[in-house]
Amino acid sequence: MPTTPPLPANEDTLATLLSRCALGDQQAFERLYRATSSKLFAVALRILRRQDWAEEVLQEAFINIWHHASDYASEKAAPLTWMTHIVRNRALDWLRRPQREDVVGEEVQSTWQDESASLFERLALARDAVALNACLERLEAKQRQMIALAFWHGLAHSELAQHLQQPIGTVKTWMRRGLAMIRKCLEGLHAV
Amino acid sequence: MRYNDPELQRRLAGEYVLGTLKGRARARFERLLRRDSGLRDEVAVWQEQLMPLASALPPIAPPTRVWRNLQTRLGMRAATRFSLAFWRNLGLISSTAVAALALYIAIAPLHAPGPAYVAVIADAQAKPAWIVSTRDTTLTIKALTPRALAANQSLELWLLPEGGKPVSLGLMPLAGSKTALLPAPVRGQFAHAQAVAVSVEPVGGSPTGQPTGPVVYQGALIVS
Repeated sequence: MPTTPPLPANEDTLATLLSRCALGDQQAFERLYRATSSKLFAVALRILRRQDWAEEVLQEAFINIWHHASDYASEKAAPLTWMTHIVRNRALDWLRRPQREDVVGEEVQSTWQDESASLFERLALARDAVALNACLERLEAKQRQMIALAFWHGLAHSELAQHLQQPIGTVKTWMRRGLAMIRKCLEGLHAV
Repeated sequence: MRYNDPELQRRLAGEYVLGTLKGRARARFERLLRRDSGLRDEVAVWQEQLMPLASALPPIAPPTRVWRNLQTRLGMRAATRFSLAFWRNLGLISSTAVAALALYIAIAPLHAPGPAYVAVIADAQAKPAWIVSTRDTTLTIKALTPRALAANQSLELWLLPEGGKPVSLGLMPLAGSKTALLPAPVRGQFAHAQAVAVSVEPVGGSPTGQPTGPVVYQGALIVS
């Protein structure tokens, strides 16, 4: 049997692996990849909706992570937060390339509708989303839906407007108020 | 736009992290970000606050080629098919799986004319999910806990002979157990394999005879 000890994917371990990556430790990089790639691939695939693009973006993101592991500042973000942000940025940049724009068909939109309930259920059970959940619960359903859809699928205001069948100005206003309320709520929770 | 307005900074940072800031506005914001540490702090706060949304997404294992390509692109050690490096990952199988395997071997009947093989396949949480075992001419796959899968997908089990192509061992049961006959050529391959893997395939299994979807589970194969 292999002798490598089992790897708990907790944040401390990920932080240790990242700091070893910064020193050029390839084995640490491999373990980091094993521990996080499934979560990060799910993030990329949701936004890009195409397997080949998501694979490319995941590779680019990990290349970025390898080269910038020394920039990772543990005091500013949890390792997975930092890595998720890199993957999302890559994915959103990828969609921004003009030739990559594609129209979101009705079929895709109905998939979002179908699965969003189950994603909200999973969110409600996620240990690291307890505070965020409590604050999302205080929003109106449409605001909650809009913020989560924007995050999960990387939607722009115009796409949200189309999906929710609301004028774009309304969507922007809901979004602005929704985000402000979440921020206020989270800061309130942390202050207690 | 006046970017030095704290309210506006906070709002744009939120929309940047959420992803709704798009196109030229996003590029402009990123330029500002590089030279404004206050704005970077604002982004960091939003990241910590909004990123838990990602924990709602069910993990999806990327295909093994992503890792191989990464190794190649970063000039890391030679990325050979089913390399030692890849299978070192099997070390991630939890000690629970190893313990389950040991227990299974201990209680399995000792009668076995030819070599019998057994593998415990762990799930993404490193919990034992299936036990695969062979005995004489039969293969048994037992699901330890029921699994859910999309209606248009099947899970296919593969034997991974060293230096050879994966050999299909049939579809995985999502609950209960199944027993199938092992053709002689397939039986012969077990002696050269140290692992099995499970890939996601279209309903009914891979149309090509080789894995086409992502490898989602794997397990070490040992002689019992």
